[in-house]
Amino acid sequence: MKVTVHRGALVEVLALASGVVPARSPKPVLGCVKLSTVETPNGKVLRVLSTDNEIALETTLGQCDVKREGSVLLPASKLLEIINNSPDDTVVIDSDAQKTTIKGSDSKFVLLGYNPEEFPPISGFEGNADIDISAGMLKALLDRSRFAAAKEMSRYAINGVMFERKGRRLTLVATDGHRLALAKEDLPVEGPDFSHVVPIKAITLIERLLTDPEQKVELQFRENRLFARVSHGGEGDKKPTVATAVLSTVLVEGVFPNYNDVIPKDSDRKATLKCERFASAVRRASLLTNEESKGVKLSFQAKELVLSSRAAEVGEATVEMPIELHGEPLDIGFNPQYLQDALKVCPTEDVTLDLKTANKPGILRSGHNFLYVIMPVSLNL
Amino acid sequence: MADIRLLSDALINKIAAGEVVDRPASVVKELVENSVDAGATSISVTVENAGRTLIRVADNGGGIAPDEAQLSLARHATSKIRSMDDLFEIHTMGFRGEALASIAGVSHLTLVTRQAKDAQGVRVEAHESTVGPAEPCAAPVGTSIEVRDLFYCVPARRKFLRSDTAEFGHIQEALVRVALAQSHVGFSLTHNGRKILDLAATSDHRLRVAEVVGRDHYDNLLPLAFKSPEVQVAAFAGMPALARATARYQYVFLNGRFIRDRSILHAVKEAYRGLIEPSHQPMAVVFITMPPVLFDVNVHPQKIEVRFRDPNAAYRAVLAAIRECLLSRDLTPRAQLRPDAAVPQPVPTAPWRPRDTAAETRRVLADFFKAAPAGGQTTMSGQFEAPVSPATMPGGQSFAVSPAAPLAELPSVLELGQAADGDASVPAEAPVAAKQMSANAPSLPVPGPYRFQQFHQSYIVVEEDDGLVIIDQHALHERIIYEELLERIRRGTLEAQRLLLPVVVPVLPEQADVVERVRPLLARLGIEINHFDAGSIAVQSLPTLLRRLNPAELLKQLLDHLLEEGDKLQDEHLLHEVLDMASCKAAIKAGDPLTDAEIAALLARRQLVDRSSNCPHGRPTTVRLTLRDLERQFKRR
Ligand SMILES: Nc1ncnc2c1ncn2[C@@H]1O[C@H](COP(=O)(O)OP(=O)(O)OP(=O)(O)O)[C@@H](O)[C@H]1O
Ligand SMILES: [Mg+2]
Repeated sequence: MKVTVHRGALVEVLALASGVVPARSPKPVLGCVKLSTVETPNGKVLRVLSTDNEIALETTLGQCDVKREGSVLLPASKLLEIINNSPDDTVVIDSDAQKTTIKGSDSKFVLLGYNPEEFPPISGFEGNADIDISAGMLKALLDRSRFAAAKEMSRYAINGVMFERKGRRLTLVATDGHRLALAKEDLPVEGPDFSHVVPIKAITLIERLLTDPEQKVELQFRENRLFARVSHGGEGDKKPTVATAVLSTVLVEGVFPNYNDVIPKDSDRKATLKCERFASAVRRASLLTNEESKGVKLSFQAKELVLSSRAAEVGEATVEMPIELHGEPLDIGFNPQYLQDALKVCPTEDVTLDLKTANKPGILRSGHNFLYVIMPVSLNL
Repeated sequence: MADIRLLSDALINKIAAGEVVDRPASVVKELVENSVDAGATSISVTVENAGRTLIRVADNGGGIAPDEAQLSLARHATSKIRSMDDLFEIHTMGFRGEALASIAGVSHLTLVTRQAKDAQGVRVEAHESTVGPAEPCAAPVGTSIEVRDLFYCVPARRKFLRSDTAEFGHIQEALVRVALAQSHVGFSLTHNGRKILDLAATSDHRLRVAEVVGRDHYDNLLPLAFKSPEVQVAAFAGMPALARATARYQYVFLNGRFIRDRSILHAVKEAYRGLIEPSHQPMAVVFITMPPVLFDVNVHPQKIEVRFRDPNAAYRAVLAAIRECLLSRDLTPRAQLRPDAAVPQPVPTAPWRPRDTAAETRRVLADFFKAAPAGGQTTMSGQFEAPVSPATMPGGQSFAVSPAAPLAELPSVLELGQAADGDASVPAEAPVAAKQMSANAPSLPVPGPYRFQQFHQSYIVVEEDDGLVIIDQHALHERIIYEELLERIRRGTLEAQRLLLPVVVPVLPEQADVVERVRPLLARLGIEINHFDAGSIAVQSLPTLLRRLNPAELLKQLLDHLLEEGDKLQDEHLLHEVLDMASCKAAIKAGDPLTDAEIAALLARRQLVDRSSNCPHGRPTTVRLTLRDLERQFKRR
């Protein structure tokens, strides 16, 4: 194999690929990326593959010149460091059965590499997509849901984002057991219903592929895996760095909680607030709370919301803001971080908060497409 | 059928002897106690063949009047109490008036005594229950009692005696139990012609204790004193490093009398909770002083057990006294570089964190258990407007302690550093550059910046002014969480995050009772559980402090543990168990990579908790390597 590649583009692709490569693995080949040349309608390109056995990423690099076909398996981190530190615009990767040479204007690196046959087989995108969606829309959906997903591995079934399709509606839901975020959008066309949970690591990698709202994203659920193909739709004059990328991942097994059950329907108080003002008030009221013990008290009055917090060893804070409240006044405690997480992604200027009592969940709504259920903190135990 | 007959005196004495005198050591105990009661300042004990053939106790006390010498050997003859009322005001070690009679009943006893005012002494011999005449003789001032051929007439007793080594061990222990409380009296013990013990009279009580537990430990015995209206506690508490696998070096005295009391020993162990490993026993010699009306020693012929009118008062006082003392020291052991220095030698230092946390903790715990468990849902009424400050907490005020300063009023770490007069073993404070601190980490003024580095994703090494400290990240975090939980309980504001998705935990049918038992306690900790279905319970809320905790794991372990321990655990103990388990599970683990900001936050929080030197299980969290140690190691000194 012999290719000349644009150095910057290769760095970008290798950085993406390294996101998949496991940090430590008993199998050295999994610490590698596989480079190979492939034939496409637009000519021969370089393909970069990486996998941790659960997630696999395949990217093709547009800006390259294939001199000789072939494939090679190289340690990901070493390769990335060599390419990243090179001062040149282009580098030449030249490999035979024994070794790979990476040549720049003033340098020559020889890597031994592994036999490309040892790399696990990776299945790619096949046939038609279940969903066609723009990168912009997918990113908005992910922004409004994934933050609520559990970060620790402890409760496996919710350590991901649920993708649900019903007719034309695509709904993404995430929860960590303390709060639940739900974002939905209507797709242009109907399709078969489904519901799958995508692990959070894969979500992070998909988000990294979404660099331009105009990108075209195709999602396909097949063989207990998700295949996500991201490609540049426009035929602009600027050649994209990454021509196409296909990320595939195993899906989270286990039962995702029924989100309809946890969205309360009996709230009898509704506050209407300005989102930005609310976010600022929460942030300021939380300045004195501390790392391990968080709780801001929200006192809802007919026309006013008073946020307060106290940290025994530091002091106390009070912030007020005007609101519209329907229903009886109520005092309730929330983890300010949980409020801020959601307020950051609210798409509308006005938000509403439905409440019932100090120990029942609150529902934050922003427009029709974002909903957030948040459990209170009991502050007086 | 046999006739009912009055027993002969001889027989009565033999039976009674079985209660008071069951082995040579009890003879020594009774005789030595009599000498102490007689005001002796020097007592010498001589035994042969582990007391089988001879026990002689000679003192320089007040002696017995010639005309009373015979009487002293009669049953229920005592000069120490006269009426029923006296029985509740006992200030002497003896009061029954039966020891000498009992001993005389099972041996050949010779009493020689002389009062200072008399020109000569008297001698009385007794065999079984016949007391011979008092014959004048030459004698030094004081009393000498010789007991020969113990149990010669009670073969059964003789058979039950153990080996000489074992019996002599008991004798030595009996003497030590008196000697520990009487440092102003000199004691000697001679066995088969060899002097085994020679304790000179001293006014330094600690020296006496050290002579018993090991002279090298003098510096590692922390003297302490504590006073409440009803109870006084004085003690010598061994540094945690002196803890051993046996309870051998735990002595409890009540008004100078050695007692065996499980609850007090429990209080001692409890005071060390978190400072020593659970399998180890602290070294501690505790002297409790209480008005005699508040307890009864007349429950056991050997007077070794007592009944307190208020068992909790003594328990709390001992716990508080020792805890307070331990909390006020820096107990961080030094790192040991030299392989020959197997025994850590912690150095007692100037009080490091002079803060009355112990009293506070005790009071809070008392209140915690007094308060009704949080039933059902509570509102947030008043918590913000009128925070319950420790100083104004109701109840539990029975001890003369000053209220704890809120954290904000503590001397800053800088001041503390200065107050510590540059002693090498005073820990330098938060080694954190301000910019490295995460935005919402507690922000005490910190000197520095000190450099730190995580090693093997398990240890954090921090550079300090006078060396470096090595921190076990899991142990430290665990300790911090533990203390912070306790602190929250103290403030009464343990915040709980309610769960949107309750965590369902399976329970065995036989665990149902246990669940009910812990439910109120857990509720007060912010862990609300309720019945889910026949075979499981649901966790509805978790304290925000324990957000890393997997509640299912905690409950499983807790329920298993409770099933084993049954009802043995008292509430306070149970609370500690729960805190232990919870903090262990919620803490970062060895092997967790940490960011600099996380390390900085951890180190900053280290300064905010007491006893950060040991994890709740008692393992050290921190070892210190001073420049001095390094210089010595590299032979620069
Ligand atoms: N070493 C001694 N010096 C002076 N008086 C003594 C001495 N030993 C005994 N006596 C006197 O003899 C009495 C009887 O002693 P004995 O030990 O039998 O009874 P007690 O000490 O009064 O009570 P207990 O049976 O509880 O020990 C004592 O009350 C005391 O007056
Ligand atoms: Mg006596």
